[in-house]
Amino acid sequence: MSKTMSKIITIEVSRYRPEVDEKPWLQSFQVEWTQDMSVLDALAQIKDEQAPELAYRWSCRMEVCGSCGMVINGEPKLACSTFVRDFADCDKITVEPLDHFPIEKDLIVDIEPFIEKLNAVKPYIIKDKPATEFTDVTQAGLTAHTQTPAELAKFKQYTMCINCMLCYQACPQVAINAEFLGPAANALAFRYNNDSRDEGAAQRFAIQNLDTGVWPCTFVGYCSEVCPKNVDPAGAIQQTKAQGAPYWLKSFFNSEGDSEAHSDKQGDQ
Amino acid sequence: MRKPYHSTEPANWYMEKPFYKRYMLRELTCVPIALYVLNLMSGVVALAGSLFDWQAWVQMQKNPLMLLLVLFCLIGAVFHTVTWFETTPKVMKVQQGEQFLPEKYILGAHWAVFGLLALILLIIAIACA
Repeated sequence: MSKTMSKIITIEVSRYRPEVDEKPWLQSFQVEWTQDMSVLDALAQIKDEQAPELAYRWSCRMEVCGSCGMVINGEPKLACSTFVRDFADCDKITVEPLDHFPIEKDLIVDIEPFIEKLNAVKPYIIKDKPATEFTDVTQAGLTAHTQTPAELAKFKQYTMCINCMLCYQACPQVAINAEFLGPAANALAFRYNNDSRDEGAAQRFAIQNLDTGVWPCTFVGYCSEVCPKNVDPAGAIQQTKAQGAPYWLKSFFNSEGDSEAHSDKQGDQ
Repeated sequence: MRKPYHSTEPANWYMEKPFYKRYMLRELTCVPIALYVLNLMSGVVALAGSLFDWQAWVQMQKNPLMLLLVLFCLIGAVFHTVTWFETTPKVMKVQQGEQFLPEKYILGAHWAVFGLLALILLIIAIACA
């Protein structure tokens, strides 16, 4: 079939209907495609014209929201920025869910385990003392948490994450060990640990130094390859391993410095 | 009704992608390295033993199979070094102002140190021979 004559491509979509199916299966669709059609557009066409009950997540259509992460011809990809034309020479396109997470329906997975991991690393600025209050705006520069461009550059790359979970799909260690904190959560922790305004690194390393923290990572490195935002979680995790060593040593010699035990005592009172 | 489906990772997951295969190959280079170390250790043991043991070990090194093994070890070690050095720019970030030192310098520095150490070892080996 010449691609100039006919612009019809076969798209196989993974279907899983929890009330009917024992396991996911592939349903084949014929889609008439155009040059500007993304895989997400193709799914929309399938849903509109052929399978109205097909379930998948999407929102922005422009690689910003991170909702439409899928496995397209075996690769973790955002459906919105993957184009049908790039598969014109293939027999077909296969679209499957990010199956390193539990599959709820069709292409939708349960993101709860991922959200829990993000929360676990306390992804916000932690200060030992609250910032000094100020009323005068001109004072802000003196009392607010100021930061130089060089200090920002240290972690800026790691702020670009859109939580699309493609890195979790790329990681064989996540597949083997679902408890592994994983690429994005560790990269997010790295982002805050290396923020000059933050003082919460010890609390995050308490999580990251666990057996389920950074250590299941064996530096396969595919997470950084598939990241649509060039966040480089693999690099963040390896740097975290080096940064975490002093915290690990400290936990041996300084049991009194355990902040969690301290806050528990306060809770009892 | 919720009935989440949990997929299981196939045991041969590393055959899925060329990227995984390359990673697995890098990990597998530990096997030739281990074999080389075993051979070297047996040499040390032979040296600590009798002159007869030592001569037998030296004789064994001249066996074509041993030469093949050493060649196999060398290929494994070179592959490991090349692929491991390629990963170093991800780990070693040298910040200069708002920029980071380009990857090629990190990689270049590794090869420079590697070359220097190899040269020193070569000089010592020649001097001792």
